Amino acid sequence: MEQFRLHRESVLHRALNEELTAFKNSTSLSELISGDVNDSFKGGNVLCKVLPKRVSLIKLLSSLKNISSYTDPEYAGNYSCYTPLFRDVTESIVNIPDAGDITAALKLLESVIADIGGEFYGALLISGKTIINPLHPLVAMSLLEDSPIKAVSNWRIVIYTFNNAGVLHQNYSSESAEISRIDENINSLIQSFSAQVPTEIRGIDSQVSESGETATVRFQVKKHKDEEDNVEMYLSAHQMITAGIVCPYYGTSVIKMNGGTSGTGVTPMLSCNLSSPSVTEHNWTYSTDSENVPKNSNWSSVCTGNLNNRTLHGLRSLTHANTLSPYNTRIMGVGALVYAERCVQKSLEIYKTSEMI
Amino acid sequence: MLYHLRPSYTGLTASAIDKLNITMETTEFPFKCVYDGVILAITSSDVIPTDQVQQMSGLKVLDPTQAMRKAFPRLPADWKYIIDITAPVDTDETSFSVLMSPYTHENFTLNLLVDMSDGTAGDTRWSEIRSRTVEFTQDFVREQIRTRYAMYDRPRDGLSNVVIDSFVPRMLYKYNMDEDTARLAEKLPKSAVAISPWFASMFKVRQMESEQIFKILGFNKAQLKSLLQAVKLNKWSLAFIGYGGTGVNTLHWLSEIARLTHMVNVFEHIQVFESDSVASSNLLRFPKNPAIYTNKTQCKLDMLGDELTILSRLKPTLHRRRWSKSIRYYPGDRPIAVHQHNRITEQTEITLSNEKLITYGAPNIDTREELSSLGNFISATHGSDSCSLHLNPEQDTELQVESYGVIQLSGFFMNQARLAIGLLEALADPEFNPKDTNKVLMDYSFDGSVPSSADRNYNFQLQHNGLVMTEEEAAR
Repeated sequence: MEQFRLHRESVLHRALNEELTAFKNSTSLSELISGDVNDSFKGGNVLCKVLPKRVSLIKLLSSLKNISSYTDPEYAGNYSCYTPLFRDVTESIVNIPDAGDITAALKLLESVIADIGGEFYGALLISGKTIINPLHPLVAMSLLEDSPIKAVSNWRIVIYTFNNAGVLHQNYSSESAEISRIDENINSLIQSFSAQVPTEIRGIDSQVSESGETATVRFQVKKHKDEEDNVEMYLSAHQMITAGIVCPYYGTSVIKMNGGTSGTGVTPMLSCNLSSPSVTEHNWTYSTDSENVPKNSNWSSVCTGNLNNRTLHGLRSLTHANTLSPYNTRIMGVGALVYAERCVQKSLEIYKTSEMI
Repeated sequence: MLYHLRPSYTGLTASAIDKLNITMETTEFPFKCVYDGVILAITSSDVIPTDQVQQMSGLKVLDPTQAMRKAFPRLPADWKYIIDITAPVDTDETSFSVLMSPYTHENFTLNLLVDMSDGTAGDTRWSEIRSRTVEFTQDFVREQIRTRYAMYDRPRDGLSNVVIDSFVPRMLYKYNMDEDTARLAEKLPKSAVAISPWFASMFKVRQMESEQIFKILGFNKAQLKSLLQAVKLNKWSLAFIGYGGTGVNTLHWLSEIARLTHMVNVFEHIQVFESDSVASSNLLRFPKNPAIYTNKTQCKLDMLGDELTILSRLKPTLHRRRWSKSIRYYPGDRPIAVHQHNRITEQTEITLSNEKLITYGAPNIDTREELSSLGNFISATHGSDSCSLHLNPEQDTELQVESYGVIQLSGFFMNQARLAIGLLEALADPEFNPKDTNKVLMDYSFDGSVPSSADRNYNFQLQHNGLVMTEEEAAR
């Protein structure tokens, strides 16, 4: 197709040339693969690398055997969709400006949660273009570490409450949720996070071909010494969903990269960026191969929009699940709201234990 | 833990290595150096503060020379000339990498190996070197198309007058962007039509007449003509903020309406702000062939052709710059906004230079906010299957996030044509007050139905599942 061939007269050439120039001018090769390091906390991404053999990950994946207990198809068919939640809570947004640094903001948030009680759904902390859901357990864990988030001196808190908690709990069949299993799931997530291997990629060199049509980047990935060379497992926290406007979320997925990229949601709040067809179809089987990781028929495509899903840069975009985007079918399981509640409690517990509040 | 060097290189055992010479290839910053055929990556982040250096017993630390400081002004005064070896290498590995500070532009000596482990480092290692090839040509564009557009095969149910625009991304992808192969292999029915003139020429099918397009949207020639007349009487000027997916389409469809109704000079003055960059994923959304319009100056704005001169009574103005905070005081002959003082502070009052000037477009959210505050701003937005016009929208910018679904092109072009008519409807309305805020002027979603007023029944076949096709699916 002539218009798509590189020739100097075409607009396309201009577009591609820009890409090429950006590539050549990059001072950090690893940036090309992993994204701008300064971007890593834009939006408060939590993407952590976990070792497949780690007991905690296996435990986390194993806990999904029980997930059907709170994703009963009888309910899920009608209600396992973000829409009722989204409509209900995004109409009830309260802003608290000038909440101070992370400690002050979390303290204030804790007291607000206590005041609001059962009508509380979630909160976001906002500073410029950085938005985080501090009540996602993985975010709470990441805040215990040194992070650029701690340097932010003035947060704005946005509180999301239910317009009608009773109806929503009914929609998502909160009464069917088994709290002990939910807690088991959240604890496994936290253990997996604690056992993480650094998420780091570094560039070795890059070579642009003579024709200028291709560029090859050579890179290395930081691995645990016991980790196989060709597989990486990542936990990705889905902190927000959006249909034009953001709303806190508590999902997490395990992303597997071994050449291609596949993923699976591991909470009753799935990601709309993974093609998990339904929360009711988790069907885990276990392999006996050296990976020692349950093989799941639901390892599925991972959509990272315009970004390449084989790069950390792309995967970081999963923090924000676009409900107008692909894979936006049913993503919330029965008991999802109870899951959200337990996430809030667990996160506050993490902050208290670490004496952040 | 000790970071071993390859014993075979020096002929010494790992524990006995006491000297390593690395030769710099260049002193440019950031420079590269070559060791044993491996290009060593250099970054400025590898400099370590002095207090940490002192914990590394045995490392010879040198003070930077004056020349180094001059060459690298970013070097903090209390930081030292330091070598950071980060790659643990097993004795049987064939290559390794060393990261160095950028302050070493001469040979250096490392007296002892350094233990830099922090407790966890001993559990980690770098993987073997992998490589990824980025292809900027056809594959790159194919990938952009796969992720941004609805991809589905044309249903072969014998329908006539099929509108093919929605199926173009899939056809191009399937045949590796080769339009000739795609055209021959797909055997489109003779009655097939395309909304986009580009697609019509690409697949050698009939282009849908714009009159039919407008009829499908519920507007006949007479209605459109009276709309244009009313707009013309009101003497509006238009400033397009960006000439991308929305700007290109609105101007295209406005000029099509003007051509159809034989009207010219509908607006007093038109200006376009465009930095002339293209997102390649956007290309198929232009209802024109971007390549054939760029023979003269290689610029996207050339796609405008004579559109502006048809629509603008006064000579139109092209600002080949992106709209920005500074450009609102653009010192052109007709600035968008004015202020009273030379120096602009937060307190400076900025007002629109002309009350009859409408700013229009789908810029980023910050710019929308700014334009809304000036007033007279019509924000055009489109989602996966809908479009809307908002007047001076007040947005909670920090909570608002751009989001699109996959784009189905037939519906997209119909929505864009409707957007242009919606703009005319708003500007023709005598009750229209450009100072109103947060007003929805139009909200529309093309559903594929064709009213009986059209000359035939076109089949849009919009039934798509809304999912991005995976690479595996798309390759089938």
